[in-house]
Amino acid sequence: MSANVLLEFKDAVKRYGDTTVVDGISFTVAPGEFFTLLGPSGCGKTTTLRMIAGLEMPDGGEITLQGRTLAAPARGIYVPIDKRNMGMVFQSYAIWPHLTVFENVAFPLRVRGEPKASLRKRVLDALEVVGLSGYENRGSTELSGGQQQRVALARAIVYTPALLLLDEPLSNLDVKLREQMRLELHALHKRLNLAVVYVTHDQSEALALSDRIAVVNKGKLEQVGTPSEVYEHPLTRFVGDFLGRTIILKGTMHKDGSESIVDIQGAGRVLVNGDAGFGDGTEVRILSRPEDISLLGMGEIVPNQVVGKVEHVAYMGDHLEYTIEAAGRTLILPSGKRDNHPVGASVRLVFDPACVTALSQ
Amino acid sequence: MRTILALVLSAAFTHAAWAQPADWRKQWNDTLVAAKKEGKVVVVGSPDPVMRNDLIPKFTKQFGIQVEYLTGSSSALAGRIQTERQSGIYSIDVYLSGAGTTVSTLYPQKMLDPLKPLLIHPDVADPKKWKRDGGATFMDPDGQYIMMLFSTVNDTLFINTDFVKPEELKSVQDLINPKWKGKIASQDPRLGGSGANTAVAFYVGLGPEYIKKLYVDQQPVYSRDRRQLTDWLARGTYPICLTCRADDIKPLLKDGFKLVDVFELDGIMSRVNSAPLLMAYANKAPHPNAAKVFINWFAGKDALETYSREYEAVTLRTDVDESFLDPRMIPKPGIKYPDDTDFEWVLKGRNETADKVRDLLK
Amino acid sequence: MSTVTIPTPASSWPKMRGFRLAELGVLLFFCIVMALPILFMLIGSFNINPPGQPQVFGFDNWIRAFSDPQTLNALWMSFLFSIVRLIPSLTLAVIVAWLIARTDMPGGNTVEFLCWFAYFVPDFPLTLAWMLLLDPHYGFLNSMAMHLPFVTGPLFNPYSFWGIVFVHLGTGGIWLNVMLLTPVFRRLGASLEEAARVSGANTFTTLWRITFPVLSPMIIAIAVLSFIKGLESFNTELLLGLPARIYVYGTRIYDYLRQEPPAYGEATALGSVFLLVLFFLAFFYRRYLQGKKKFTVVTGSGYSTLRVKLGKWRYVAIGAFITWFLFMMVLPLTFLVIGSFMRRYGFFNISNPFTLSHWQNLFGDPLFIGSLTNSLIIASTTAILGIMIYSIVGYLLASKKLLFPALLEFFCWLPWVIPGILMSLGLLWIFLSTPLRGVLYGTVWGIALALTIHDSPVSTQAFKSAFMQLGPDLEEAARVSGASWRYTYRRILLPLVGPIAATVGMLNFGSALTSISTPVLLYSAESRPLSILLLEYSFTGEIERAAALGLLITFIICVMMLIGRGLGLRLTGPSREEAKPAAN
Repeated sequence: MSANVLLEFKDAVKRYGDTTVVDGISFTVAPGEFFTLLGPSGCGKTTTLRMIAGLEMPDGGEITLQGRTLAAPARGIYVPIDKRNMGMVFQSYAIWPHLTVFENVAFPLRVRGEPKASLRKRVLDALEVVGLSGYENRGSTELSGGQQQRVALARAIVYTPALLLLDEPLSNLDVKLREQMRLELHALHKRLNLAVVYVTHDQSEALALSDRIAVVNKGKLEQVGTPSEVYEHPLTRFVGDFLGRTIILKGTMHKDGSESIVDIQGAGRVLVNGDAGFGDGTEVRILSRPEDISLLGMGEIVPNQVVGKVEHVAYMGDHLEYTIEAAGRTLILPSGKRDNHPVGASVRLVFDPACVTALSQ
Repeated sequence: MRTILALVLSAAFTHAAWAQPADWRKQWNDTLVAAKKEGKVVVVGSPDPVMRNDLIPKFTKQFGIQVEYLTGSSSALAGRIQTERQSGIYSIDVYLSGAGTTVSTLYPQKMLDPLKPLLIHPDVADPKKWKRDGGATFMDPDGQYIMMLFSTVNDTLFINTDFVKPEELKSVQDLINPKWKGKIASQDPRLGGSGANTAVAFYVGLGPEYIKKLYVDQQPVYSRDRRQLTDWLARGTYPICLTCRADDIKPLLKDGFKLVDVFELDGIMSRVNSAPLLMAYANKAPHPNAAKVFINWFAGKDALETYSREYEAVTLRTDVDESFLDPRMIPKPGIKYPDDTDFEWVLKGRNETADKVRDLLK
Repeated sequence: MSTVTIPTPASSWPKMRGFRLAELGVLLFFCIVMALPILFMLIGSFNINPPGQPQVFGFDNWIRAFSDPQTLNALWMSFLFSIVRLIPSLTLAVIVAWLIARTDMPGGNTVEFLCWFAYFVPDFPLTLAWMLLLDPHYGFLNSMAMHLPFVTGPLFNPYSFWGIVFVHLGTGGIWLNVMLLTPVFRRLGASLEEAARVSGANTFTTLWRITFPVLSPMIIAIAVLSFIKGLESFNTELLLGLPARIYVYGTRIYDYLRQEPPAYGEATALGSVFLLVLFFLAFFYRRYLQGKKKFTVVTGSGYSTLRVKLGKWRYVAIGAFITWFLFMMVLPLTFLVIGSFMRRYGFFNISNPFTLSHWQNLFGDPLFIGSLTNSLIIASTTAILGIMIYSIVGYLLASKKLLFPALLEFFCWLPWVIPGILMSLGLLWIFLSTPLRGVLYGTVWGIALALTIHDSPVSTQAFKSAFMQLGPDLEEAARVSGASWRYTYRRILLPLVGPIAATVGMLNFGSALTSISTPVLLYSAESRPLSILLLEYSFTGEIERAAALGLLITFIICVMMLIGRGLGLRLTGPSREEAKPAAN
């Protein structure tokens, strides 16, 4: 196994009765990497995380951490939860209400038989890292949501786990606090250089924090890549949709030497980045982000342009939002306030070939 | 040393020293020594305070043998002891139980050994000490298992004379006078126990019609609780009580309540019973010697006189003072009373009659 | 750190193996101590020959028991009583529990404590007190009422259907219901209620549409519990029912057992009807819960509780409770206390009616000290055993990962549907048949085990609902932190259910002190508890001394309760009541 692999998650399967919740997911996490499992609720991302933690047992596949097999049902290997050396922050924080802040954070160290003197220092250090110095004697029920979350974080990192697992840690916070915690989490990750597996359904969190993102849907992995890879070049329509607004148009693939051009049903032609393995004459879809498309008034239609008609304009404060009918579809595109296209006018949609992906029908 | 102590003790016990054949003395002393070695005797009985507070401490003081006194309702204890015996545990030495338990459970289930041979002390072995011919009386067909210690004339009922004049209740016909409708209290005759026993006595003496008149037409009020019946009688709520007990009434008499027990009603024969208890010796008793000592002592004058005094019961001994008893409860010599605790009667006749009563009152 | 490799087939995983092992262990334990004794009794009920003779099997006992028209009538009365009692007692208990746990009613903790106290006042002497108060001929309240205008006859009659229902409101399950419901209400995450309030619902709507439905599984479990307990009850009916010729099922069984020789077969046949009822109730309860699977975890993040502001109504609420408590408990209890100092309970017009002799006789009883010691050992052991066993059973039941949840749940109810004396007889048989005979038979430990078993329904339900409300996260967080399950159980789970554990411990302690039917078959001279002494006193009509002993037992329970509450609160850590808002 490559020295650059901390966690290997291979072909894991999890079933509940007849439902397969995780259906053969594989990925690896490198040391120090911030790895995010992104997907809608019920997609299997939390189950995946819980299998890493040992809270769920896979029905198939293997999970390996630092070369040590954590779970391999076929070989009858299963390392108990408490022997995996993970840190985890639960969505509900799971702060033990009967213990003080100090005791909550000290718990993992006590379990590990940490000597008294160093225990105190390490707990206080961890509290300082999460910005809760001076709160150690508080009862944990006296804390606000954000503070509880910090306690949960301190508890997860206090013993330098092999891997930090975060299960939607920001979802219970209000918007402002979430932004702040996101920044702090990012800084903390850089500082501790811990490998993190992060579960979220919020694509902006995923994009902002992650080194790599794995998009999960219906128990299967749709795509793994850096934030820009998955955002700019979603491999599936689901990934494209889930990560933000997308513009999708139907067309027919034309091969012109090394160039792949998609003919959008008489409304224009768009150059595609690479041929993505589609043969001449194949019916395909092209996908692009709205912000990678610019609007021009009518003029000569050159390649990479598609004609549409403005149906509605909405004033959004800092920008305008056009509803445009093109090639039989209704598209919503943002545009700067200076471009002014009246309702009913014909416009050109200008695609950036570097940001267009072809997908099968 | 031990022998000397035993001698001293036995001398203390038989303070009325008479010329004894030497063999009982030797046997008795050997028993005492062995009994001390056993250290305790396990007795099953009803939870009565006299036994616990008075007699047991006395016995322990005299012989240095502990008494483990197990109490509870006889049905619960019978079930317990049967289960123990099925598992090969024999924990009981002596039973001091009522006729029902002894006759219908202990004896037929062969939980007893003959008691008669254990009576070795002259104080109980001497026939002259007992009222009946042939000495100590045993009620079982073999004449050696179930020892009778008491025989008392039943009181038929109690009245509160503030509400019912004695002359108004002289015969069984007076009892079914409509005047007393709703004024009579009793234990439920359908539920066994003394309620049923009373009804059975009326049935035997007066037939089913009388039962209907008394228990249906007179609309008696039932209770399960001895104390409740006694209180009702004392307050006059229900001034005629068919199943009250003399020992419950006694303290109320001291407080001036005008309660009278009626022994004889014209038209019905008085009966006797062996309440409060019969004595029997368990088979495979774990402490046979201590049991022997206990049995000889309990059948003796001291213990029985205490009982007689506290429970208003007439003993079968000839040497017990009876001056403090109501003379009406002492069976008159020469009269053959029907006995409520007759073996055959308890085993069959009583239950069959009780069933008949129950059918009448359904 | 070493890799734990256990070469087993993939189907039986180590994590689940521990869990399964616990499940099977608990099932096996219950089989031995609950199912086997009952089976033993059931088989015995078909034996038509008296014990000691060769066994002959037939239906005679069953036919005899059920062909009696009184049996069906008594069964009907029992159901009627249980249902009629359930409605006011559950309604009142829900209201009181809600007031204690969710509102700013002053003195909530004291109210809870009073309910605890009331539950442990023995019902037999209390019924006697009500008789003195309500008797149509000489009852104190009736005599007082006669002085009122327009009152010509006695107002109250305890020897009647409604009289029995009324007395039960003071002695029966209502206090128990409050005790069980209060922690349930207390642990309900405030966010659910707050969300409803924010959505514009008023307090009442919130209660009716949110709080009660969310708690309905627990409330229904407690209702089932009271219902079954109600079927079993017969002390009050015994004293008050017979004069009015009201027979209930419990008294029928009692009568069969008191026959000579005792009719165990018939009694068991009658008792088995409760088993049927239990099957029926268990089935419908499960059906009901299956429709509401989502309701299990009702705690939000943390359980900081926002209390409902009652305004001036809070004084009305506490006033109403105090009035009710004074009338239903203090009044008869005062009579009871006075009774223990009377030469003859209830006879005020005799000369020198008052005396200390019953108390002196009680303390002077040569068996008193030994019995007291035994009782304390038995009760403490029962409390500890109860917490240990039923916290695990409750945990297993709440985990929803069991192979046979219905079976385990069913077992837990068994001890209450079998009349205590029959259960004890079966247990005695089990004790004698095990190699542990020497430890269990006739000893305080055997009695403690039997009493622990007898309390299983309430203990299990209490722990189960506590764990269900806890949710899995708190446990999982500890496991991920590296704690073994045992350590997690000890340091996290048990303290978190601390108040419930204290409740269960106290309940077990209290009922161990007061129970008679369980120890009566299991005690020996060395292990005689106070309750047997109490039985002896009542048996021989010494109700004044019995009252004194009953009060003493209540007092002991009271003291233990204070200790237990303190312990329970300390286990929970900084209590919610005392928690101050964060300084910032």
